[in-house]
This record gives sequence, structure tokens and C-alpha cells, in this order.
Amino acid sequence: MNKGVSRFLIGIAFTGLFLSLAYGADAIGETTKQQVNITAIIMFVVFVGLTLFITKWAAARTKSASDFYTAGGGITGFQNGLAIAGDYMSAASFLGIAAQVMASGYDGLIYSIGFLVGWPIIMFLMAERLRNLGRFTFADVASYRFAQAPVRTFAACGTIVVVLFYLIAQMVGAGQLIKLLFGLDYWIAVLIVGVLMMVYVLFGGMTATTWVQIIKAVMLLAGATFMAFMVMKLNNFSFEAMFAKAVEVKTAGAQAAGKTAEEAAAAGSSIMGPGSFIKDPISAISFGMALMFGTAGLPHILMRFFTVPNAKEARKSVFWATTWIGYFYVLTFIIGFGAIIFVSTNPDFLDAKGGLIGGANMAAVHLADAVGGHIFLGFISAVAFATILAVVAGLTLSGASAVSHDLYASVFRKGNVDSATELRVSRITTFVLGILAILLGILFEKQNVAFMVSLAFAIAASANFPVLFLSIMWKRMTTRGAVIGGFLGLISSVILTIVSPDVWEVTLGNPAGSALFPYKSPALFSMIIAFVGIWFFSISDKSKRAAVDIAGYDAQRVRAETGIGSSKASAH
Amino acid sequence: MSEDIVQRVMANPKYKEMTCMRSTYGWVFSAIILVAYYVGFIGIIAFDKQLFAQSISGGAMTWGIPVGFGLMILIIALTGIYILIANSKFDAMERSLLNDVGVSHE
Repeated sequence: MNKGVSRFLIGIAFTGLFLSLAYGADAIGETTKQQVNITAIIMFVVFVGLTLFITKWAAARTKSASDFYTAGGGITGFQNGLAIAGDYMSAASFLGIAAQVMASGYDGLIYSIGFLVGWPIIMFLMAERLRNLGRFTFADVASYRFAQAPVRTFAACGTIVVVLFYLIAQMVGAGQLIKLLFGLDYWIAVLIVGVLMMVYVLFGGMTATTWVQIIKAVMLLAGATFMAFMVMKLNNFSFEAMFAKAVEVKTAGAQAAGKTAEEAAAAGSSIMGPGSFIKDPISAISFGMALMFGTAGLPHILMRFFTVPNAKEARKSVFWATTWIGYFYVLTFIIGFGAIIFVSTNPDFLDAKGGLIGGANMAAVHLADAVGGHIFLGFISAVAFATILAVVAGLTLSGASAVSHDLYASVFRKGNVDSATELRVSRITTFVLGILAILLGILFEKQNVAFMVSLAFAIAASANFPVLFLSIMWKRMTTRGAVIGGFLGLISSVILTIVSPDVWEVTLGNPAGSALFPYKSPALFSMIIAFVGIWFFSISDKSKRAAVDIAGYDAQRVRAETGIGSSKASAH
Repeated sequence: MSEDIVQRVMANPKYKEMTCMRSTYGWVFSAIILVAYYVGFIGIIAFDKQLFAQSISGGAMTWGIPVGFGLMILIIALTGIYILIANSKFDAMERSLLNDVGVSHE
């Protein structure tokens, strides 16, 4: 892609974006004010301009497949930690968790901790070995000593399925959020997100997506810190005062809704303890497992482990990621309580029915307005958009790499492909995935896609994680065990999710209580199915291939533990 | 990485020592997190919610808050401690092992 063409295309994208935003902003819904949109649009355009500039810089450095997939391996542990945290601090977690805390207080913290608790497990058992064994994708690690074609095909399937579900949920969320914040038509919003994401990945590969992710993480952390700081300041920096005030607000709200003094008091103090989020022990454990082990099976997260030069930097990445994500969840908790106090009581933010303007997910956005004024609201809106862009870019890159590196280069061409060809296939796949994401995003506009992220985590925990984990840890595992066990995990998690209440009743509209699988998440069951499947089909495997698989374990272990033979960062 | 190097590494007692140590730390630390989360946190929530909803000293703050935040701090702290141990112990052993075997450390 020569310089002139790329500059031209970027210029077109930028101009088109600005024009469509400016044009679209005229068609504002009656609930958002003109001046807010202009500020938000300006901030957003500045952000996009900065990221396109970075993409241009990254494009000059992206010459090989290694550059495209892993930024040449030159990302430091600290930078990678921020990028991984950025992938995690999506719009869904920022807005969704703040909304959940506003609705039910402590339950939001239970949800947040569930997301955090997978990281130490990754650190203690997987991070270093992952980096030492792999090169571009987690399939490199999972299929290391096994027959390449079947295991890579499975891993690519696991990757593409997880990425697609996650991507659809993000695109739909993006469309709705942007429609609300900027007043654009839904399909224009989806189109803008899709086009920008394609530009980042096509031209800048992993280098661009990493830096976009880092910038967005810094912006989001700064914005959220300011909001939490303001909430605390307005409560004289006392947690006790903030909690007391929130309980007061909830109690008053319950009384206004007609409850007795006793009931209202109970409703008020219910936000300070676990509520109805965890209904039964099995759901709790299953859901916890999906979040914990799903984290270790998300392909776009795993891919980031190969962007650092060695295992030591991989360790540092996990530490920084854990720290930033933990800090972020403390902030969202405070923000949620701030929303109870300053948003739910302010008629400016409420619609005729008493709900939040724009829906419950707007809690954090309204709080930004409340504590920081219109300019800060513009900033947070721009950050929310940036957040989505960065995450979908990472997802697309991961999906494209599964097709180009795992399927095309490793399975189809059996490893006999030069870097330039592989790079070209990656770019073509990125383009196709981008178009697909836009179309699916538009198609699913009216669907309730909240279950898709949970499903992505469940599949990641039940298909990707078991195969990856056991292939590193268990000598007796064989190719056959990996493929059959893996697909069993994949299929069972999808089927059980479809017949669980969230999908069967809420999305498909069947009567309440008719769901065949009663629990919130299939992970407990589908993970057991996967592990048992891998175990059984490995130990009963007496084929010649099995002997090769088992014999290959020692050499794999040496490389995993010492780093001898691991792929190094490319020189720039 | 040739078969020869693999054999030499595996024959060296430092390899067994290093892998054993890393495994032990890995599993013990993981167990701490798993017990803290599934027993100390999720377990209590599933079987005895009221415990976390108890007020600490009559105010609005309940026991659930410090437990929740404490768990988050434990998580971050343990990952930090693991790095300190890895940097001081594992890396030194690895360097020494690679020296013995004659492979250069990147």
C-alpha cells in the first residue's frame, strides 16, 4: 500500500467522518442539547484525528506479518498492561457496571470482581508459558506439539465464534450509544465505527490497535478518576457519608413509590449488600467460572501476550493490566453511587416515566454532566465512542489473524507461505470482517444482544481455555482429545446458553420458567464436559499420532519454562 | 531448539528445581485466589448473604464493602508478589541453567 494511496484514503475517511457527523448532528433528538453535541463532536474528531495520525505512523512500521499481528514484539510490559486493561474497560463495563451499581449497589461490585479474578490465574499458570510457546495466535500454543491441521482448525473456530458474538454485541451497543450521544441515525453510527475500525487495522495492524487502546485507556481512566474524585469531594471525601446519602436517596425513592416506612428502609439499605444478582449457588459458581476462565480464553486478549518481547514483559503486562482494571472497578463503583445521589434525584436527567433519559446505561454519562458540566460531558461521550472503536479493532484483528495465520498459512498452506502473502491475506480478511461486522450490526439493531458477551465468555471458558490449558499442562493429552474435547465444550456451551433463561425466555420470547437449562451461565457444566472430553479421548487414544503428541511434551515444556527457541521481537 | 539441547536441559538438576518451584508457587497462589473468591466471597454470598449486609458499626457501611475491596487488593498484591519472586528467584535460576547448557539469554 503506497504512501500516496494510504494518505488519500485516510483523508477521505477523515473528511467523510467529519461531514457525516456535522450533517448528522443537525438531526438531533429532542432530548439532547445542541451545545453538548458540538463539544462532544469536536473532542471526538480530535481523538479520531490523533488515532488516524498514529495509524499512519504505524502503517509505515507495518511491513511484515509479524508487525501486523504483534507489532513486531516491541511493546513493553507497561504499555501492554494498559492496552489489555483498555480491552477490558469497554463501554459495556464502564456504562453497564455504573448502571448496575446505580440500580442495585453492591451487586455491581460482585460483577466487577468476577471480571478481575481471572487475571491472577493467568499470571500464575499461563502468561509466561504462553509467551514462550506462541508466536501470533493462541492456536500456536494450543497446537504446538499436536497435528497442526485439526487443532488449528478447532482453535480458529473457537476464535471466530467468540469474536463474532463479541463483535456483534459491541457494534449494536456502539450504534445505540452514538445515536443517543451524537444524535446520528443508527446505521450511520454503525457505518462510522466499522469504517474507522477497518482503517486502524488494515493500515496499522497491531501497532495501531495497541496505541489506540492505550490512548483510550488513559483517557477513560483520567475521565473516570475525575468523576470519582468529584463524587467524593461532594461527599467531603467520606465513604460513609456517600453510602449514607445513597441509602437515603433509595429509601426516599421507595417511599415515593408507595412502600411502607419499613419496606422503604429495607429497600434503601439493600444496596449495601448482595442483592438478587446471585440467585442460587450453582448460577453463582457457573457465572464466576465463565468470567474467570473465559478471560483466559478470549482470543483478542491472548493475542496481546505476543506483542511483548519475552516472558518477563508478559508477566509485567498482567500485573499492570490487573492493577488498572482493579482501579477502574473501584472508580465505577464510586461513580455508580454518585449516580444514585446526583443523577436519579435530578429531574433534568429523568424522562416522563421517571427513568433515565436514554436508558439506564446512561447513568455514567449523566453523572459526567452533573459533576463536570457540558464540556466534560462532551469528553466522556467522546471517550465512550473511543472505547468501542478500540475494542472492535482488537476483535477484528484477532478474527483476521485466526483466518490468515491459523487457517490459511498453517492449515491450507501448511506453513509454506511468505510473510508478504500472509500479510495480504490478513488485510483482505480484515476488510471482509469489517463489512460483515457493519452488516450484522445493522441487522441486529432491535435485538437484545446483552447475552452475546456472556456467551462469548462462556465459549471462551469452555472451548478455548480447556484445550489451551491442558495442552500446556498435561503430558498425556493428544490431538484427538484436543479436537473432540474442544468441540464438545464449544457445542455444549452454545446449546446450553440458547436454552438458558436469558436467551430462551428474554430473547426468544418463550414463557417464563420454560427454559430447559435454569442457570445463568453454562460454564460449570460445559467446562466439565470439555475437560472430561479432552481427558477421555486422550487416554483412550492409542494411535501413532498420540505417541508423537505425548513424546513432544518434553521439548514443549523446556521451551515453555526456559524460553529457549521462543520467537523474539523483530528488529526495527 | 534441537533435541540435543532439550536433553541437556532436562538432565540438568537446575531445570527440575526451577520448574518445581514455579509450579508450586503457581498452584499455591492460584489456590489462595480460588479459595478466597469461591469460598470467602461467592460462597458467603450464595449461602449467607446477610453476613455482608451487616452494618459495621451502625453506619451505612457494611462488611461486604471492605471484604470486596480487600479481595481486589489481595488479587493485585498477589500478582505483584509473584513478579517479585519471579524476578528474583526464577530468572536467576533460568540464567544459570541457560549458561550451563550453553544457550545465550536474549
